[in-house]
Amino acid sequence: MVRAFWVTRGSGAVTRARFRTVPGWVLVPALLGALFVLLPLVGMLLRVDWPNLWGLLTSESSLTALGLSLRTALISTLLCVVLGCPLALVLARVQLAGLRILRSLVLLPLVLPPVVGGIALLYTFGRLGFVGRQLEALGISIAFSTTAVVLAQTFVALPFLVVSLEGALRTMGTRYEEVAAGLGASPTVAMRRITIPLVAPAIASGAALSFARCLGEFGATLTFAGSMQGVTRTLPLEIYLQRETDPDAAIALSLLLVLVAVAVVGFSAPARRRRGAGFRSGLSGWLREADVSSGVRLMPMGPGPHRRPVEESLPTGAGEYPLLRTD
Amino acid sequence: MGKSTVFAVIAGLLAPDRGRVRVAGSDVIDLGKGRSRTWTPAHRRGVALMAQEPLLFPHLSVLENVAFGPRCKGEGRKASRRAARDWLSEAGAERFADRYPEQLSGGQAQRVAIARVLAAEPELVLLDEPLSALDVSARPEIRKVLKRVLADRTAVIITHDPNDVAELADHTVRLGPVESGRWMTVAQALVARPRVFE
Repeated sequence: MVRAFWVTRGSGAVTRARFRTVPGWVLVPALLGALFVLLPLVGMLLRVDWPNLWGLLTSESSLTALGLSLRTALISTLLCVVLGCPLALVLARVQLAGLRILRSLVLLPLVLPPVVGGIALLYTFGRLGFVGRQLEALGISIAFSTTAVVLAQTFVALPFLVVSLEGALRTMGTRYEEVAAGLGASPTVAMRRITIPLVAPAIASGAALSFARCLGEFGATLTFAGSMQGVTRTLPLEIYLQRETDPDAAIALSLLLVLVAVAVVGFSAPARRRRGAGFRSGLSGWLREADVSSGVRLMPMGPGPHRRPVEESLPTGAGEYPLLRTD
Repeated sequence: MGKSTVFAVIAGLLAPDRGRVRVAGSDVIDLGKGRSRTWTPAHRRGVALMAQEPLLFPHLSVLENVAFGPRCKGEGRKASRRAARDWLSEAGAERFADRYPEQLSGGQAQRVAIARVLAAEPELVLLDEPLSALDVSARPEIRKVLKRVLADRTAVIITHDPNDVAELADHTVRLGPVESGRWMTVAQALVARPRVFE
C-alpha cells in the first residue's frame, strides 16, 4: 500500500507536513473570515478611552448593570443546569415516539430571534398570558421584573447546555452504565456515580456557554423584562442605552463583555476536548508528576500523562513486574 | 452473532419478544402470550457481564472500581474497600489498587475487571470472549486467573479459543449452523458450571 510506504519512509519518523488535505488557495478566504471576526474587535480596542476606562467601568449605572447581569446570569445558568441535564439525558437516551420532534422544538430558541422569544414569553408569563394570569391571581407578577430577566435568559440559553451535553452523552454511549447495572447499580446509582462524573466536563462547558449566552441576552430581555435600572437593565441593555448618550461608557462596557466572552471560550474549549475520561487522565497525569517530583515513584514513566506501561515486553506472572512494583 | 445477543438477554440489556430465562432457580424473564409477564431489571438479576474490553470506569481508581459492586450492595465505604483489596489480590492485581484505568495495560485492566465482577458477588458470571482483546502472550496468565477464581462459580464463557475450552470448561455448548433456527454462527459457547442451563 502506498500509505504504508509513506509511513515507513525515512528513518521511521512519521511526518505529515508534506501531505496537504487543504488546497493552498483556501487560505485566502480562511484568512478573510478570520479577519472579519477579529477586525471589529480591533476597531473597538482602538476606540477605548483607556485613561478613563476604570472610571467608566465603575460608574454607578455600570456597576448596577454589571451586578444585575452577573446575578441573573448565574441564576439562569443554574436553572439551565438543573433543567437542562435531565432534558439532555432524556433526549439522548430515552427511546420514545415523538421525542425527535420534541428535540427540535426544544432547540428552537437556538435559531429563534430573541425578540420573538421575548414576545412568546410575554404572552405566556406576562399579565395577560395564560400562565401569567393564573400567577397574577396568586399575587405573583413576573413580567418586567428581575424574574423576567432570569426567565428570558434561561429560555435562550437552555438549548446551549442541552446540545453540548446531549452530544457528550451520545458519544459516551451506555456501555459503562451496562457494566454498572451488572454490578448491581440501580439506574439512579449509575447516573450519580457513572454518568454524571463522566460527562461533568461537558456539563461544565455547556454551563459556560449558557452563562455567556445569558450574559449577552438582549432581545428577549428587552421585550419581556423591559429596561429598568437595577431591576431589569442588564449590561447589554445598559450598553445599548449608553451608546446614545455616552459612547465611551458603552465601549468600556463592551470591552468588559468581550473579556468575559474570551474567558468563557477559554474555559469551555479545553473542557470539550478532554471530555469524560480525558479530564481525569489529565488530572491523574498531573498528580503523578507531582508524585515523581516528591520522590515517591509510582511508575517508571516519563512525564507524559498518556503513556501506558507496555505489558507485551514484560513477564506477566503475579508480582513479576520489576519495573512496575511500587516501592 | 447469536452468542452475544444471548448474553445481553440474560444480563437484561435486551428484551426478547417472548421467552423465558431462569437464573439461579428464579425467572428473570418470562415474556409471551398468555403468561404473566416477568421482567427483572438488569441490576437485580445478579448477572455480571464481562466483555472483551475491561471497561473499567475511567474516573474511578482501580480500588474504587472494584469497590463499586459492594457499594451498590449497600456496604460502607471502608468495608467495600477492604473487600475490593481482597478481590484484587485474588485476581493478582492488588498492586494496581491506587492507579487509574488509563495507567494499566490490557492484561492488567482485565485482571481488575475480573476482580470487579467477583466483588459484586453475582449469581452468574457471563464472559464474552474475555481474552480475545489481549495480546497472545498475556492470555495464558489471565486464563489461569480465570480458572482459579471461577472454580466454584457459575459462569458462562463465549470463546473461539480451543485453549479456553480445554482449561476452563466443564461443559461445552457448540453453536453451529442450525437448519431452521436463526443462529447461523459457527462458534462455541461453553459452560464452566452448567447448573444454570441444566
